[in-house]
Amino acid sequence: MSDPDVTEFRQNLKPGDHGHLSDLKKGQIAIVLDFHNDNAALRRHLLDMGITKGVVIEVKKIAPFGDPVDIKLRGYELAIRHDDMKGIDIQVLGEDNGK
Amino acid sequence: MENKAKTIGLVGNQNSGKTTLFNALTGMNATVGNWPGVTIERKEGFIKGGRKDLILVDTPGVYSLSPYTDEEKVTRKFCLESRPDIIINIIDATALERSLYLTTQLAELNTDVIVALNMVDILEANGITIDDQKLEEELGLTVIRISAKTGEGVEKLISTIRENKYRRNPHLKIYAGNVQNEVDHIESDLNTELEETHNPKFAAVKVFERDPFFKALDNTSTENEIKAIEASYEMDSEQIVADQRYDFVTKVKNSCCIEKIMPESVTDKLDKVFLNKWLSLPIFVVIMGLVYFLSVGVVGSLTTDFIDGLFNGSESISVFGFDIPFACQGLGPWLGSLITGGGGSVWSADLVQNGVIAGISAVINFLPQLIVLFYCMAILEASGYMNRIAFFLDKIFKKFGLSGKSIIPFIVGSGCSVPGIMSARTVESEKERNTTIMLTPFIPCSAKLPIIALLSSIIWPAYGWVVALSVYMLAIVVILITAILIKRLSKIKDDTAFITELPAYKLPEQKDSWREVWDKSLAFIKRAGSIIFLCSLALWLLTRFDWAWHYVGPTDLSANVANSGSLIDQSMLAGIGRVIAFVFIPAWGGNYSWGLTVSAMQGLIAKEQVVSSLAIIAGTSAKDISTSAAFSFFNASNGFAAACSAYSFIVFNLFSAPCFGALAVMRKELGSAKNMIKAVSIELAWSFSLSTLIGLIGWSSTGYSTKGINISEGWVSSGASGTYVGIGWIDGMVLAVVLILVGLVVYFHFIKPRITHQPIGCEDEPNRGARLVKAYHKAKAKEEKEKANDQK
Repeated sequence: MSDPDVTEFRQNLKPGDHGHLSDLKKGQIAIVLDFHNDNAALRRHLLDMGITKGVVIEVKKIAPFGDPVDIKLRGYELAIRHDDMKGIDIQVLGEDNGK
Repeated sequence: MENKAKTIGLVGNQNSGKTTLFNALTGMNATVGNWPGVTIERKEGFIKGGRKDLILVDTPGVYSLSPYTDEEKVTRKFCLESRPDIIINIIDATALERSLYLTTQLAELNTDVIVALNMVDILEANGITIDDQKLEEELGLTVIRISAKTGEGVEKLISTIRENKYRRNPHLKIYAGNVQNEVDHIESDLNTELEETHNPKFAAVKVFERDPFFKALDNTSTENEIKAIEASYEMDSEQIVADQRYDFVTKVKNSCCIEKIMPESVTDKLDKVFLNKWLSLPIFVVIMGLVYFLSVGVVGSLTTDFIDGLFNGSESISVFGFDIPFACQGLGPWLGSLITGGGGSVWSADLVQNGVIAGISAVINFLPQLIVLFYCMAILEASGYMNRIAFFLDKIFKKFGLSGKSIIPFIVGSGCSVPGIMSARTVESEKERNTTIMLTPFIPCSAKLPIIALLSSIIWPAYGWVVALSVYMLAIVVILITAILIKRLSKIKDDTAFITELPAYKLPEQKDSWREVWDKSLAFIKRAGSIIFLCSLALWLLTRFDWAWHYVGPTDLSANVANSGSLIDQSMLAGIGRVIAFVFIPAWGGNYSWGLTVSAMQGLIAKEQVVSSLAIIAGTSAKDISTSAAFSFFNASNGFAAACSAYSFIVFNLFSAPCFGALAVMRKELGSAKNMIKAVSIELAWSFSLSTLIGLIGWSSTGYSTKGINISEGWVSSGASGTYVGIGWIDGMVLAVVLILVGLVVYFHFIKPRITHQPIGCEDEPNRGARLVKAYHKAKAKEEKEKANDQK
């Protein structure tokens, strides 16, 4: 169940690698290290939605046309644009390809 | 002593089941109004089982008290300014962490908070167990397990509130040592220096976060202390607070909640289909097609002619293209004959029949299909599919400066622009929202259908639907081009974002869906109905009298032909049309026609007036207008030129300014008259240039010969003139009733919303920040003065 052509702009990160949330592929799990965003209101909103340092995020679904992306964190799912994920620094923890 | 009713606020995340709980708590006795100063809907109702002792106020769903969209600002204002007696914080038990984040903020207010732990009925299915006693201990707030859907726990919630059996807000200290110290310090500053008694704890945290509305303590030692704390955490204060709130929440959750690892959920399985790369778009098209087919196709076709018959009389109605005999005098003609039969004049009968009743029926006519449309939308929304549509269309829409959520206004707008424009509120970014509002009127709404249908059959009698289809295609092209133009030209900086929750799929609650349909339909009647009603009366006046106030309307209402004895070509409207018609000569293919011009102008009031106006001016039934003298240029014998004029007329009506009802809503939703005028100018520019272009093609085929100009006719055509009308006592009574109706509509639509006192008002927050700053400087000045005095 991989979607090769919609994930081509996403880098091929392995567990332990550092990168941005936008680089993750479907099924990958990562921990948030830091995050910056020029838009103060949007940054605030993302903080409120639970994207803080140390939170674990899984990329659950990618929209049929490749963007936005549905991520799972803190027990719920959030859709977010690829562009807005670029400011979130992560370290890859692993992959959830089972099930 | 009689106690004043207590105000209870219902606050919670989106998709937490707030609406269902609101309905369960209030029963059916809620009122829908607007929040003061904004068009955002506000629901209020008394909690059932008492003597109007508890007012429940529903607030827009929020994730935090730092507002992001306009809707969310309303909730913050309500919580801070209205001082509710109790806040019921509804929590989605399946997303405990995110929900409790808001709880930590609510607990900082000087208000008691009761936590309603919702969706306990599906916890087991999700593999979650929650110890609510433990949760209550950890939060220090009363926690009640409920299921808004099944009604479980709702009675207990009510009795807890009514019998005052809830815990008082303990104001737990949730931050780590030095942050908590700093916040406490700011709070004591606020208390002593500023006499900030509203919500000092909340304000203190906001000052710490440097929230723009609470910038009272700039450039003080406090600022330095905050900087020191930020340096020690290597984060800014906003991040620190959010971080520590979530730390607290996680701790609470871990202490009271056990989650089992579950196999793939039903939602994930469904999303594999609905969000499948290849299937998502076809499924969407089928579902939308079905919605449209049901509302406009089935219900619209069944009811439009039928309702028109009930109000305006008919001999047969057309259902799915078949003529079915349906003899009905109709309410209007019946009232008309009652008036003339009782000795009233024809003009007063005409006022009731063609002014009042025709205006009311124009509104009622659309109601059945709108109800079906609203219902389908409510189902799609509640099931969670609407969020998916926005999710997968966002990529495409973003390219045109729109949000995925813009699809909802566009779909609703195909029924009626008014609710369509109103539903644009969910679009987060201002730029994308305004673009959406500006484009929604370009969608051919159901009132434009008769225009398209009638003239398409004139252009190509056998294949009218091909012409109609080409019109729709043209609309899409125009929308896309305009979107790109606005995106390029707009000066608002690009701060677009798309953040939405993808909630689990669920079966919609029928009760809630129908209630939403009821609320929305009522809002439609109020907003659009009153404007259409007033405008059709104004139109009646303009078409029935000439400049000298001679009556030029019909002299015999019993005849089948709509304008029997009417001298409409001498009316004020015809005069106005004669002046403006010069501008439209190219657009109408070289034809000077006040009739077409006037009909198009009436489209401003309501698009459904256009076809009936054509029929009235032609003096024939709508189908046969091309046989009349007034519209002879539509006659097939004119070949290509006729087709061009007709197509140009469709295009003008399709893209010109929307009806007054939609204009009124646009003005409100765009926030300023300037923006509305901008939007209308764009629309008029399109309609005028496109129709002129098409008309010119037709005109050139006739070698640019101009027809129909008769300068000597001037403002008023020669010929038989009207007469002054007398007023008998029956006429006087009719007139009085109509005037009272107008007065009532004006009062309830324009005056009352402005003067009514809002019992639960919210002050503008910027004022509040300014007041804090002022108070602070006053306190500082006093302090310095005292210091100076001491030194002396």
